[in-house]
Amino acid sequence: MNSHMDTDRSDSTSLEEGADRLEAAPPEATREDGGIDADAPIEDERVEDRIARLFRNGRTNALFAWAIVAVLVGVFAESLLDGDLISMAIITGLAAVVLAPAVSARDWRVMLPSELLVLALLPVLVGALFGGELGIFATYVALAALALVITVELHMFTSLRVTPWFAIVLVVMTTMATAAVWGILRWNADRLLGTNFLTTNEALMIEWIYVALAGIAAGVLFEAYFRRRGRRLRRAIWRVVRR
Amino acid sequence: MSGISASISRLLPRSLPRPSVQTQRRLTRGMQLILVGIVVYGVVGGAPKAITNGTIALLVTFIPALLERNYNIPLDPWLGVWITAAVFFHTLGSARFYAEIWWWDHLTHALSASLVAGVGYTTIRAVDIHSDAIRIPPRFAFAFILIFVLAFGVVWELFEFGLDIIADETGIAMPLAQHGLDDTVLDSMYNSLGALLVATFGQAHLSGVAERIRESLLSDGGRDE
Repeated sequence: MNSHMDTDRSDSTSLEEGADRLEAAPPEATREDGGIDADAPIEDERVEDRIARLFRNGRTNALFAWAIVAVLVGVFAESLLDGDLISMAIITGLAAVVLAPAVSARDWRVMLPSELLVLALLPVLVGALFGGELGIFATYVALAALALVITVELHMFTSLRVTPWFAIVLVVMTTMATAAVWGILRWNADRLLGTNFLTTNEALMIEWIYVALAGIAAGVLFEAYFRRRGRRLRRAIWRVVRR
Repeated sequence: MSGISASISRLLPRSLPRPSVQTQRRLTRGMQLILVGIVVYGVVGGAPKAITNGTIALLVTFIPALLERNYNIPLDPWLGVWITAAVFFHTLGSARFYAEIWWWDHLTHALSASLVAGVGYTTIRAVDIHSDAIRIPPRFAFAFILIFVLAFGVVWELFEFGLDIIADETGIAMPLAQHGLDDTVLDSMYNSLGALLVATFGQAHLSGVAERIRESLLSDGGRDE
């Protein structure tokens, strides 16, 4: 825990420096964000600037994030060999989400906070590294983390603007909505393809109770996460997410 | 204000022909009369489910008029008919048609989900207008409406599941019940259908609601947009 805090601090310092450096370059680009840029196209510089503030560009974090990417590549290769198209599509989507910040900033060090990535990709990572499966609760907490990551990236790359509380509400709703979609998909697969995913209504309801609890737990966790990050980093994230 | 009417007139070609206020009143009165009939039937025939459902539905049908009169929030005439129809068809269903017509349940689920979708859309618009820090472009509204309705559906099914457990434990007859796995999943599917319809066609009718609510609530110190 202690060592983690240390890297956290050094990362946030370098992030702050990076942000300062970029902020100094386009002086106007940072201030006018309050609402004027609705019509203006998002310039590369401004996107870079926002990313520099949200995403850590520390080396430690980036190396860790790239190790996660390596695992994703491994899983992709495995599903390619198995000819598993669904798995390949999922992994490609996840890799796009993980790599979007680095690609758009053209800097390999600009990555999402690696603890958030680990949480979001936990089902894939656990499956790849230990060959096990997570329970419903943990899977849906991971899904909530993925929804948070995507929300933050939409905030960064599109005209969508959210605040921390709105992002959390959205993530909790998305978690439950996904459970409904997943239920619908499995039910139809059972009917049309002869699979046996779903058993009884009671089993599905108990699953949904776990999902609802996971969504709420994730919401509480993210709230704490936004709060308890190092002071500087938190300021950096909130500054961006608040826009 | 001019911005709002401009945006409404821009959306008008996509909206359905507007019923006159008189037509809306007739439709609403007609449905309310039948609801009264259902309550009377419940009292005479000793059916507690018809009494509770009918009474609640009857009260809900007065909400649009109440909003207009007491809070000066004029609603699109279709919106009033829509709210009334959703509760009306559900009450008719629980009085008789759920058991007799297989698609009645799907109809009411799509209808009430469309109502939930409307509430979700209006909430998002209200948040969008109210908060400077939050901006939700229209192209995201579609996704929001779907997520909102699907999540609400999960909460709703869990609520029904809870009522079922309480009914089993205590023996009290509940106005709502689940009817097995197929029914639960089909409910979710028709909820999504209702949400899709609203996300596609409903925005034109709802676009002004959040603005009008905000305007009448903040009429003294509101910002100009």
